[in-house]
Amino acid sequence: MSFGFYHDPALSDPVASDHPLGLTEQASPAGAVARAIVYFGSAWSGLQVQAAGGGPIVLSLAPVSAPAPGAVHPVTDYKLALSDAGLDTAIAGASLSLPSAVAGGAGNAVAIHIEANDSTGQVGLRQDVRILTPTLTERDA
Amino acid sequence: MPYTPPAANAADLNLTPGSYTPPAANAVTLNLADPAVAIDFDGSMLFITSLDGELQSDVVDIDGALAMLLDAYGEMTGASDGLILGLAGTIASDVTLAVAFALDLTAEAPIAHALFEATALLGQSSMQWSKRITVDAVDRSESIIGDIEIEAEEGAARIARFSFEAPTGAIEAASYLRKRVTIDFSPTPSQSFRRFTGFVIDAVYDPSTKQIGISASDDLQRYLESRNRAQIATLIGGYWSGEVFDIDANGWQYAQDRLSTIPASFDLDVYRRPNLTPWAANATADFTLTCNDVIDQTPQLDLARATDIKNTITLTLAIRYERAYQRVRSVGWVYPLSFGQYLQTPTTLPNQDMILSALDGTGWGVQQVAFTSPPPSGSYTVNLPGGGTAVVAWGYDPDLRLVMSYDAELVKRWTQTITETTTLTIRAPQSVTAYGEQATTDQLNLSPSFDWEAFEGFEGTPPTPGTVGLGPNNEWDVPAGFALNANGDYESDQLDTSSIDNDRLTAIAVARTQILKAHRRNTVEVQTPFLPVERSHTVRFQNVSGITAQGKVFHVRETYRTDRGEFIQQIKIAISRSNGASVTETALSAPVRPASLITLPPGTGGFNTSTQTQLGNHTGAIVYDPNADGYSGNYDPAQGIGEVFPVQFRVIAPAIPDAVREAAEFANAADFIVSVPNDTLTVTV
Repeated sequence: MSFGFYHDPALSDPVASDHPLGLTEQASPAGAVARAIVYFGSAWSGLQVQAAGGGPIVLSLAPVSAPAPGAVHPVTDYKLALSDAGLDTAIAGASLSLPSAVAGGAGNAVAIHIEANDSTGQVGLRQDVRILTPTLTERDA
Repeated sequence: MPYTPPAANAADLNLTPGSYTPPAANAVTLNLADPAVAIDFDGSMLFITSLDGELQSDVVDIDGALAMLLDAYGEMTGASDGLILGLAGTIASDVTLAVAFALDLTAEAPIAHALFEATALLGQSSMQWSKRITVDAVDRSESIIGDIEIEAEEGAARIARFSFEAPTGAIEAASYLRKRVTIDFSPTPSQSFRRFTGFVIDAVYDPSTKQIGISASDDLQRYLESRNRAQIATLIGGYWSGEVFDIDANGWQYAQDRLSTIPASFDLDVYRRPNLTPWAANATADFTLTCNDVIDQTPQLDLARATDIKNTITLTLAIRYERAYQRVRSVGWVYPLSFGQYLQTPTTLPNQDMILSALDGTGWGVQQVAFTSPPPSGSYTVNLPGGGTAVVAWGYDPDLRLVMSYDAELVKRWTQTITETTTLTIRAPQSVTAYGEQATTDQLNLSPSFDWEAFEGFEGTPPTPGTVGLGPNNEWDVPAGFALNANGDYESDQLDTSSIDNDRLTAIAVARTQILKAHRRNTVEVQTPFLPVERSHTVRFQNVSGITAQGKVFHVRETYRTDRGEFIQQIKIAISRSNGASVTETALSAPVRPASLITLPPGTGGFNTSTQTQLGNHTGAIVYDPNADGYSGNYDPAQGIGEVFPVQFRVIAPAIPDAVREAAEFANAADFIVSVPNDTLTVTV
């Protein structure tokens, strides 16, 4: 499947476990947040993706299967929105609905805004949550 | 060699439904058996089909490309299902295609969440920062020209200014007004710092440079004005009183009023999230800067002038209110002769109208009254003065409503104006010692409203004659909240104590905050490379050109120089100083009000308990006393010759003593100690 998450709007730099979406947050004062953007789409024009079960493509936040030992960020440490302004009112840990079909091509990439809040107080780098799509069906547009 | 699906080259690959990621065991080798040397995929295609035929791919022209997309869709319906790979077309070479399936039907983006100590960025002064600036969600990062300036002062709106190259086409600078602006800076792709979120408040197009200049604000004022008072109270806390502040203030002013009662500042952070920060510096600084961390090694130190350091406020708290009283007293009268005597020597008798009229004339309310009427018509045996008895016929018309005795409960209501004055000296003693007394005065006059005229003038339902007794009239019950005092009266101070206490607490909190604020007008400012400093941070300057200081950030001004890709930041901290040893602060509570108890001599205020009966028109009648209370009438028929008295009934009401009627004033005084924090500030030459 060519659809996935990318660091750049040109969809040339895919997000991967060894190249994750980075959010950097200050430990002090407590309650600081960080925001970033990740792009969902496919560089292949002429394709589109849909949720296998129909309806909108709903992105969810989910823990990784085997987080490293230590404090684990709950999914409620994160917010998803389709705009920076949307993060102001987004509900922590809530899923995000995309359109029912996303077309391929860099120009059709969907910018996913994410905000990270830390509830662990554990200084360092953690990789224990991911953004997850539902089962998708990719086909010709 | 041509191949036609399902071709001999096909290899079955049984996969159960699930997710597969190459390279994995699901790989299958597809051998194409032509022995030719050259590899030529021209015109050839790969295909996928499932064993049950439900899954069917489009055949894809591979054209020699190494990155192939086999776009198969449908579904595998069971564990026994599988796929067939095949090549359709003609190839000219002997080739082995190692094909692996990536049935990765979901996509995911792992998040690397780094939490770091703010000071970790120290020493990165040479870093080349990148920027991301959006206006109305359009990325303008690449068209920014000149410097980007962001300024944030304690308690004020954060302001950003920058210019960008105008896009081609028609220019309507005003169309940018109120559009959302975000500014992020990144030292590395994985580190990004939001520095501004707000809205365009001014957009100007300069035709000579073809640039659009933007001024943006986080719109702190609108943020507060758009919230109701309950929301603002939750955000800020503190105290508020309509007696101290403007009751019609808008949301912004209401917030400022509440802020004037607490040593804290309210502003919005870089994401426009509300932030209430105490003025007190944290014990541990968020950033500690040394000489190596500042650009200009000469920090700017500004100390408050001693004459500006207000350290004593004499606050006069006056409450003028009405004390409402209700007095309940008994009154009565008894015909002095027995009924037998009356039958032998009849006199006039008062009737209910006369008595009720007399009671009404006192100005007191009648709570209840009981009358004793003459016996009904009939024959009565009476004792004769000379001995023996006689039977006397007695005819009585009850409609006359004659009275032989009565008892009544009368009620009087009145008010007294009480003025309580508390003189509160709010001062910071350690500051007074260090700087001398810098005093000012303030006052709060409270006058809770009370409709004393309605209270005093209450008449209730007038008593109606015709029954043996009246009442009790519940209209004259002791009102709720009245308590019996030592004088035998019911009283109630007409003020809402909790409201009054809040009013006075608010005034005290304002004065305390003014003193604390006056002592933090000392500032130290340095220039640094970029640090993600916020107004909520505590920053310490450690021996920077001889100055060591630690305080809450008061002002941050940051300039991003796009031509060099670097940051300059000016950080100013506020330092609270009293230059004295710490003292124990008075707990913030409503001060004790002056005692205002008024005590009267015992028995004050009762009615005459021995009301008189004056009977005339008989020989030897007493001299008529026009000032006596009680009943005056005559023998009827006359018993000899004597003065005929007026037939009347009179009730004389006791006066309300001046001590509980005339305005009274009470006063007390108290001290309120403010402990001014001493933030770190040392200067070494």
